[in-house]
Amino acid sequence: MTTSYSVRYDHVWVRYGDHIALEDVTFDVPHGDFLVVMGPNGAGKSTLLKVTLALVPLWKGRVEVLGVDPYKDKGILRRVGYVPQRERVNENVPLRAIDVVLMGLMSTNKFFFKKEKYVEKAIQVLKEMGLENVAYKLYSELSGGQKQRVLIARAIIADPDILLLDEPFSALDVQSSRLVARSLKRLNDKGKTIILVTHDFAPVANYAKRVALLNRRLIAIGKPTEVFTPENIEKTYGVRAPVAFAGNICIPILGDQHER
Amino acid sequence: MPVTSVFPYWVTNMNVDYLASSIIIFALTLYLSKYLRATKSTFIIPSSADLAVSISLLSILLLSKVSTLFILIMSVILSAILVKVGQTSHAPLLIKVIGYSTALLIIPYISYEMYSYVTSLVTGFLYLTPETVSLLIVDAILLLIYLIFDIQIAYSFFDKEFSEIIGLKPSLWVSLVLFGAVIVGFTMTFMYGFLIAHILALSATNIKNRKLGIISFTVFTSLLIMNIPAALAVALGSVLATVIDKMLLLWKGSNLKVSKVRKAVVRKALGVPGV
Repeated sequence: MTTSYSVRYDHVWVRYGDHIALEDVTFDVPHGDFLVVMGPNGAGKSTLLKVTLALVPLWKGRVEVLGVDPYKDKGILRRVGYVPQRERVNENVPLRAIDVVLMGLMSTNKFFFKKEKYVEKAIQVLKEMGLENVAYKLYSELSGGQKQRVLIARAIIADPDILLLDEPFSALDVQSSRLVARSLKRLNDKGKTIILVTHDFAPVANYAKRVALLNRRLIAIGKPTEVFTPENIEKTYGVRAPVAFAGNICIPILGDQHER
Repeated sequence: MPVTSVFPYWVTNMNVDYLASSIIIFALTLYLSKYLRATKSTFIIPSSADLAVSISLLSILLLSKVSTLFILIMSVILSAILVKVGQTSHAPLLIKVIGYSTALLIIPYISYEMYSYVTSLVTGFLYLTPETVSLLIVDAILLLIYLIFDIQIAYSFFDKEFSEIIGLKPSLWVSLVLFGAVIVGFTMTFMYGFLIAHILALSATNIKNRKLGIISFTVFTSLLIMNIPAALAVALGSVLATVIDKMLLLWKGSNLKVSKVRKAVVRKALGVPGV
């Protein structure tokens, strides 16, 4: 099915027990978009990614990925790459960087997967991420930025149309954040739709095409210069925060939302 | 004319079936420990050994004799509990305490025969019983499944969420590993006894180099089993295998060519301060 959008959220409601995580969220993500989703802790940002992947049950509403409901046809998720929060990965399992990347191809043959067949492809993707020299190192021995790029490599090895990223800049220094952001920019330039959840807008300020402010409900969505207004920020975070402008770029000065 | 064995004396005297079974159990414990360590669930093997004793004691009281079927059914129920409680040690401990307390308080009033059975559960059997043979078959099948599906298991433990998305069914693999941990704890308890099962499990879960671990365990246990009781030989063999593994790590750690990161990992693994 051909659609004008990559993902559509249609009056999406999610609840965990008595707690409502997402409340009537409706918007489309067009092909080739670079959408940054921001909001305070508990705003439902990660839940939004999880409904896209059909990982949490929907209470009400509908999600479409490339025109297909992922809850009914999980096969569509082969066209979606997912980069989870690094903290959710168990680094104590002794896997090498290349093994982690190859995991992205497992959906091709889940039970009799032959890693050897795809090694060349994995090396190629690691090379694109500037990581070919650490391919055979243990994942746990890599730096934070390298780990993040390995997880991105895992997400893109199957050549997905959509890339979902959950807090990719968490606990990264400036240099590593820039490297990761540039990798995302390159992927977006190749036509991949990117939906990125973050607290830190600065690394992608140059590249984000649209921003969505979320606090269980969708507060605002659009170009960063239109969305980052003191009113929207107050509605989202409950605090008034200044917005810094530099040319066409704008960044809200939010401080550390994790400390709130 | 006396019948002579086709095997030399040192082979016939070394309790080959017991040794071979021990190597399977040791290899399985090493395999499981790789993942249990990763989820900080190393306690699960010793706790399943505790549970095996508890269940046996309770089944003595309830059924007059230990029924293999009863033990296996109970193991499935208890493994489900262990999977549910996952990485917390409180629930297995609680079950253990209830099991021991109830059984030990009542057992002396029943018979001396049962008391001696309990004693052998603690000190270990020196032969394969029908129960241990049944459990060994399950162990061997599990080891085979783990080796065939090693990638699926590794990925499921590494990133459960991503595995779910790509349709790997991570809960299946994680549950299978936890179930294996319970079964191997049971087998060890019935083969070696409660105390030695603990020693073997705790030694094996600390070994990093699996291949070397299996080789050194085989060599040491083979030598020891000719001179000391089999269960004790297994315990000492596992401890010596751990010592060799630690010495190797220490040697690697002291090698100047080793990278700083790896050195830090080795120091951390050995519990050496300054990491």
